Amino acid sequence: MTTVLGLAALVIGLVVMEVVLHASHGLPPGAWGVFGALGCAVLIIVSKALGKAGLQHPEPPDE
Amino acid sequence: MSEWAHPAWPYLAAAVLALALPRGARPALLAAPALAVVLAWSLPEGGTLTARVMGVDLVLARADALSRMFAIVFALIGGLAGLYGSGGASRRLHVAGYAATAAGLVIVLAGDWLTLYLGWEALAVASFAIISDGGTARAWAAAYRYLLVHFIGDALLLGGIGWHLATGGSGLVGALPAGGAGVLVLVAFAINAAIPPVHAWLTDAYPESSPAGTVFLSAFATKAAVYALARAFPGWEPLVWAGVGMTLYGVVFAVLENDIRRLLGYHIVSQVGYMVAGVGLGTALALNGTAAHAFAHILYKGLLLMGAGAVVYATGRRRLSELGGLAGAMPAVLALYMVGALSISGAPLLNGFVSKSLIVAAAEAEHRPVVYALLMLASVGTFLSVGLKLPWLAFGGAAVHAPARPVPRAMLAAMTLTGALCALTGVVPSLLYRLLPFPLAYEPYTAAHVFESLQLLAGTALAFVLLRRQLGGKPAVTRDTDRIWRAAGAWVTGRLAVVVARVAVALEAAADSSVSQPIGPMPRATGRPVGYAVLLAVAAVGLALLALR
Repeated sequence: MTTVLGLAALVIGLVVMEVVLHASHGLPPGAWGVFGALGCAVLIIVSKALGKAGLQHPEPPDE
Repeated sequence: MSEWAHPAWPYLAAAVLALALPRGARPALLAAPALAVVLAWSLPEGGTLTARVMGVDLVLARADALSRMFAIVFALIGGLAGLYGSGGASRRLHVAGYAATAAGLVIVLAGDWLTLYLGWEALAVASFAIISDGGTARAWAAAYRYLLVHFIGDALLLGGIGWHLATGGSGLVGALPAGGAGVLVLVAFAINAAIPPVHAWLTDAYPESSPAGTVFLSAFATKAAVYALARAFPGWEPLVWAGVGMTLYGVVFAVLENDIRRLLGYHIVSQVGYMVAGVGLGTALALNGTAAHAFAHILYKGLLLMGAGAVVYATGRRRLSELGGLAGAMPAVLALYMVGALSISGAPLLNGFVSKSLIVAAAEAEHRPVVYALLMLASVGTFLSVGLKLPWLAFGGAAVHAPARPVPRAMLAAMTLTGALCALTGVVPSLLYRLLPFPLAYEPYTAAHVFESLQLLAGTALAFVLLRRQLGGKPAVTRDTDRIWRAAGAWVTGRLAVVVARVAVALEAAADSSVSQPIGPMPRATGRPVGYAVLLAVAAVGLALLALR
């Protein structure tokens, strides 16, 4: 019962969030969520690529 | 007779007293930061402190809203870092930490360029001592490199100030005109602000100090530079792009980083980027944002480094590849670290949300969509590394190494206080906003802004869950621009060594020929001073090479 209520509150919250964002910014639903997910993926991919391209090298031994 | 006192005085007194007091009595020195906060808080708008030193009239302090805001937060963090280290930090750290705080206060209250320069120089020397408090050979080498870089910056600053004054410029700290003097001063400020490619001293040196030392270090050099940039170069367009570049540079390197304090060091570069961009935008809203973000950043970054320092202190390990599963053993540290992590990530109800928003809103208000989007992207990267990657690898999963010793109460007390300040200024932003240099009509807690931020964090978390295996801590280090500077420095030093040696040999030959006159028997000891010169030159070059290795 608690889980169901929690999920319901989450869904209602998300719907309210989207309505507010759509009304205030004219953004499509979930725009900033998508931006966050894609931005995160891009940063990971770019960083890893730069690491493989020579930004990373093996750790020197401790003193 | 002035009716107010400089907030640096209590810190200077504490630094001197720390030289004499035994370890057990040093917590009493925390009265000094409390007094300094009161003095900074009660700085009178427009008040000045002047003095005549060796025939030169100095404006030791000039209080306005901007300098007061920086002075308050400098005075605060000096006390919090002192409390954090009061459980066991060395005498050297207490002396140098309080001296660095005093130097920072001198800089942000300086009314004239010469006073600012003196504070700048004192901060470099005090920071050298703080870095060397790490005690290892790596710490000493990093400290020497720090000093070398900052002395170069200090020389540029002095040269720029001298040029500015010689060409009829005002001796009072203020906006600098474009030209040779302005360029020299700008480069000096850029070095201290850690603007790439002259930023690597920060991630090189800060992680090598002791846990409390890193907290002191994180507060002053870069933020003093932000303050100076806001005074001298507000609205200078290239700073917008330098700042945006910093925000992204820091997050990209942080994704790769394995050392927890070096990772957080890259996020100093990134967060200072927001402030530099705010200075470049130059509007009242943007400059308010820069000041507010510097204030918030000093607190939440202090908290993050306190958390990382507690992990280093308890486990003796600093690499993510050697950490894991600490949540059970250090739940309070994790909880307080997450307050800092969510603050820096711009989560609602914390101070990073109410300060970063001002700079991003200023970019939006100036119709700079690319700047706006890139600042938001950097925010994603911040949450990714500081709020997700670091806690997941250090505190999550199975235990790798159990803490060898408990975290002192003083450390936890300092973290709790700092976290409370992050939350207080986040929940009640007017506490922060009323300190700002310009009138502000901005409401951070609109439904749209809150939901936008929550969506951004949720989207980042979702991608992290899917891609987190890519971020596993690997025993690797990142190459940064310090490699270039070190190679270039070693090359220049090597060439200088050859020149110095040749000059010394020539001098020695000349001295030998001068004593070979047929006046009778004379001892051939006159070559000795030149021999010493060669020895000293070689020693100096050797030291420089040591620092650059």
